[in-house]
Amino acid sequence: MRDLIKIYSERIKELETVVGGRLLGLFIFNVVLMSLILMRSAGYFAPFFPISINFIVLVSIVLSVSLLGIRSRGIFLLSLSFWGFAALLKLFNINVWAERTAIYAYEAIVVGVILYLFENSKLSKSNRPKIEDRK
Amino acid sequence: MKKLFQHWEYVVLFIFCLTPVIWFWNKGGAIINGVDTNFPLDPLIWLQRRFFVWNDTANAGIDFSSSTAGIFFHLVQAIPYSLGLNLQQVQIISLIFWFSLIILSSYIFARTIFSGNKLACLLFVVFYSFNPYLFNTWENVKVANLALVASIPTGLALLYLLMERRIGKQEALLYSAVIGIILSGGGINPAYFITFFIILFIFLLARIIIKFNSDSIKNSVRSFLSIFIVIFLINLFWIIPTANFIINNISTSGSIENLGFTNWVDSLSENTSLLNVIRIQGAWDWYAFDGITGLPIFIPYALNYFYHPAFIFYSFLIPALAILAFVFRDNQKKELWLAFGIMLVLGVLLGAGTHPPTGSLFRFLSDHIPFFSLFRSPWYLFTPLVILSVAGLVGLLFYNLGERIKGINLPLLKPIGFLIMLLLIICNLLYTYPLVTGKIFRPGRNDSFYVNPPPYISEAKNWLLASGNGRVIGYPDDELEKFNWGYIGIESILNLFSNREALFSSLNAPKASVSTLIKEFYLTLKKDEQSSVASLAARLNIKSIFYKKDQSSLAPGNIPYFSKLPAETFGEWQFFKLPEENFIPKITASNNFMFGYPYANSKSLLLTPNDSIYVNPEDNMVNKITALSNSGSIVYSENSQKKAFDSFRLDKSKLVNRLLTRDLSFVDFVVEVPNDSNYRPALERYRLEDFGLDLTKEVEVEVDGKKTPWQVNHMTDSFVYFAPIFFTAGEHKLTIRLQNKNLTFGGNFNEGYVFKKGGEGMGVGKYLIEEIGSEKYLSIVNIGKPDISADFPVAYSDPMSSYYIELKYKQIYGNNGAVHIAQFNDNTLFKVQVERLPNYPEWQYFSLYYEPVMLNSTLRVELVAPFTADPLGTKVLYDDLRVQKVFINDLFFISEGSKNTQPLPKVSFKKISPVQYEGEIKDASMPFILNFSENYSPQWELTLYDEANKKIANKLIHFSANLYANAWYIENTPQNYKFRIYYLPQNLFKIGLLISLVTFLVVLTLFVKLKLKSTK
Repeated sequence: MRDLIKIYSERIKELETVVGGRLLGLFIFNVVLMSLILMRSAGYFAPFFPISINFIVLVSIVLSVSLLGIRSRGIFLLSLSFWGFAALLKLFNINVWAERTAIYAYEAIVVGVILYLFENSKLSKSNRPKIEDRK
Repeated sequence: MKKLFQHWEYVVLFIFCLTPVIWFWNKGGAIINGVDTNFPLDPLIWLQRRFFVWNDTANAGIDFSSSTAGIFFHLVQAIPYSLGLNLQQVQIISLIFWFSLIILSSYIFARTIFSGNKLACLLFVVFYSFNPYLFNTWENVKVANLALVASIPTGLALLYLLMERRIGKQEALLYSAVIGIILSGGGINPAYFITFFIILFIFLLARIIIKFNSDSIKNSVRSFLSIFIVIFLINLFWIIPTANFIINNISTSGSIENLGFTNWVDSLSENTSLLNVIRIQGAWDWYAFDGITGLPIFIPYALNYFYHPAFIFYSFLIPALAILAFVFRDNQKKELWLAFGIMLVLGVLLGAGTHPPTGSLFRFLSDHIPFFSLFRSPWYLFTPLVILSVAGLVGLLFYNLGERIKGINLPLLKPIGFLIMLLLIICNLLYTYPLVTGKIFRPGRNDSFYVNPPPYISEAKNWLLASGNGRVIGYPDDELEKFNWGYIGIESILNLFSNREALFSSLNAPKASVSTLIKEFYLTLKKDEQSSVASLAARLNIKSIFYKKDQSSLAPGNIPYFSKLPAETFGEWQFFKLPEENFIPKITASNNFMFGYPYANSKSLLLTPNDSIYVNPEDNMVNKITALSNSGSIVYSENSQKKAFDSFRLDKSKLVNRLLTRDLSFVDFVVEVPNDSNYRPALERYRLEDFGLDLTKEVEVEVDGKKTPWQVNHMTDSFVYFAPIFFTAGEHKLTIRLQNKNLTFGGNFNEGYVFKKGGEGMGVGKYLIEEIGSEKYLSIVNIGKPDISADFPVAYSDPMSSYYIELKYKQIYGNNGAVHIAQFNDNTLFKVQVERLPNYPEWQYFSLYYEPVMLNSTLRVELVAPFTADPLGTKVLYDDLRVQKVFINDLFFISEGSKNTQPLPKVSFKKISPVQYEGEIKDASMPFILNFSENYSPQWELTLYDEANKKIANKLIHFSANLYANAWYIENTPQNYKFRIYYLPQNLFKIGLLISLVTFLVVLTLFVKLKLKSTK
């Protein structure tokens, strides 16, 4: 038990450090998400551009990359959780929801692959040899 | 034995390769055939046919350019067949060959990527070779799919090895050539061939992105290009003629609808949701359910995949493992992760076709990318990307995990990992049980693909071979040939084992000119209009009628004409020989034209004399012919009753067509004649007496409002010809009075309760004839009963005609009234037309047309008061029911013109091949027309040679004649000369084949040279 508490307090500290570094991003992320949900409930932009849940999910996946610094592994885990949830819904014969959740899983895969591309491409900034390396 | 244990994976692969043997287990001598499967009953004939870009065996010929791609596929069948093996053995060998190719190809790729991890290799092989996508591929033994699936892994492995410089260039070139040969079958649908290069290109792109330096880019692009060029050159034998066909026949831009496949993509994309595509369950036929039983129509095993929890779970597990692979990835072979990732994303996106939410992108691409409409079966074309990426990612996951646990010192970890992989392999084989066990061929069902061809097929084959030329037309005329011994085909069965030219109802091109002529032929045969049968048979070059008694059909079997014809009988098949004197050879001469106004009317051809050809007056090529001023013409007049009937039949259902009363006691004909001339009226003969027309006397016709008696000049069983009348150029209106009887009795209810009471079950049904003044009508009240009705039999004896039904009704309360027209015999209900009456509380006319199924049967009109849950029930009033025949006979006006009575030259010819005919013309003293009764194509070329075989420089006018055929106007020639008719795209095939052979020889020589060098 004592070990568990120790691990928990260590992890909390790590989490605090991460959150501390991304506080502004987290704030914006939440504000955007809340705004989108509020606007959806009030029917903003309908019927020209109705804010769908699908749109909100896609925006949140994209924003989580830029604002929360999630890497491709995280996005693939997110996709996996969507996919697992879709499986659960399908097993319970809730087909419409399963279809929707599968769309979110697919969107996460797309973002994950794009992110993976940038993480590993020699074209991307982070993968270019540093100046001292070039020397 | 020790070696066998060491290389146990080869034993497993060998067993996988033998999967097709299981399909034939306990099936006797059956072969897999039917619908799209098209397994030839004479593989040599099929192989031979693929060396020509024109197939003359089907409906007066079609371009066959893309089918030349099937040479290798059919060679695999032809070799064992020529060695004397029976058809079942030939098929088993062919299927094992292709199954082994897929297994070996995937193993080669797996070995290249996962070297050292046998189970990861096997995992890839199993996931790639056993999956629901391949169910349909194997079910129909789709050449293009098999070729693609067999080529992809080897192609990728080769590219990978070449990029990694692990293989020599000469070797790579030879392997590319071999892959090119395997892939050649993909050319049957060129989109599959393109898909192969899309996959290779994705890999190239991933490689460039991951290893972005000039040396790597150069090497990667060079590797890709060397494979691409060799495969491309090897396939030029079909690429060049197919490209020629596509460019000349398919619109570059625009949507899929331009191809004539209305809603094709949308219907295929109906069930390709992202959820289904990722789980590889997007095939349309899985989702076709019977509306009444709720059971699958085509795919019985689909129920397991839809409802069995274990199957649902497993369908999610495989993609989950593929996604998980990205979580547990390492930093090795990054290009593979990226390539598989892109393939997964693109494969799912494009495979979903026009299904939302991504469908608009597919639609955009099909509208804006030239020739994108070739990808008209998105799920079938792009799912190979998904199966490859999923198999690759799962393989990578377990390969990676295997590498990771190597360093961990836990004794149980390795066996557990081994067991998990083994379990996955077993589970996948269980999951794809229809493919493993052969359930994909639906054994035991009515639509099973297992068929036992009856012995009389070979007898018929021998007779066809010995009975000379001339086309054979099949009967019954169903678009699907469904034989009681199991075979279902969409083309004539004769094409499976014979090169005899056949005509049949076309499922693929029902609107083609020749198809309309074939339909007309069947109609005249059923109506027993023997002179028209003879006339059309002559135009279509028909020598015999192939009557299939073993075909399940609703078409009438008792054709009176058959009893007058001599027949050859082979079991359940009969070949009726049409009179020899009516037969017109495929290539003939004529010197008279008949213009058609309008041209596209197949009945006009029936009126064209045999020594004339029927042409389009608006054809630019025809108008170049100077000697046409005195040509005859056939002018069609518009029949008012037929026009109203067609409008009802063809327009989308709408009330404006129904809420009216029509007078069928006269028919108007409107005709627009092109010139001032004498025109002979020709009225279609069929059952004119039913309308009170007495043909022994004069027929009174109002011409432009003036009563004119028409004298019958002569008549055949198809047309009544009247004495010629003079018309000035322009529009004229003619009216014929008819005695159109009411074919029901008691529909005005003055005769009392003469109808039958229909409807069953509990509840109350009240029928009451009420009256207001002298007017009587029927009141039907239905309280709680299933639909009850007043049923009126129709005095009907002619299923070839169409009928008009009219009534008055008034809706009082409850559910809407309805009229049912039921056609049946003692055992079967053939057709019911249901018309719901709008809820209208005043007396209202309602009318409709009924087109019967062409079978001897009984017809009944039911005036219905439908069920309602409302306790007050339904009350509907009915009155003045009338049923009449529709006068749909056509009236034509024939101007003979001044006939050219010069003697015709003598034409003799020989068919060299489906693309080449050679012959001689003798005594050609005047210009004339050479007719060639093969489907028109501007690419048919006529060349003339003098008696010294020197080409005669002559500008020939080539045009379409007799609605479907070719004709050339020939003038300024010597009296005697030779000719050659040739289908020009065959030259493209020859050039392509030469390049393909040279390419193969060059790469083979380079390879042998290298080997010889290395052995020195």
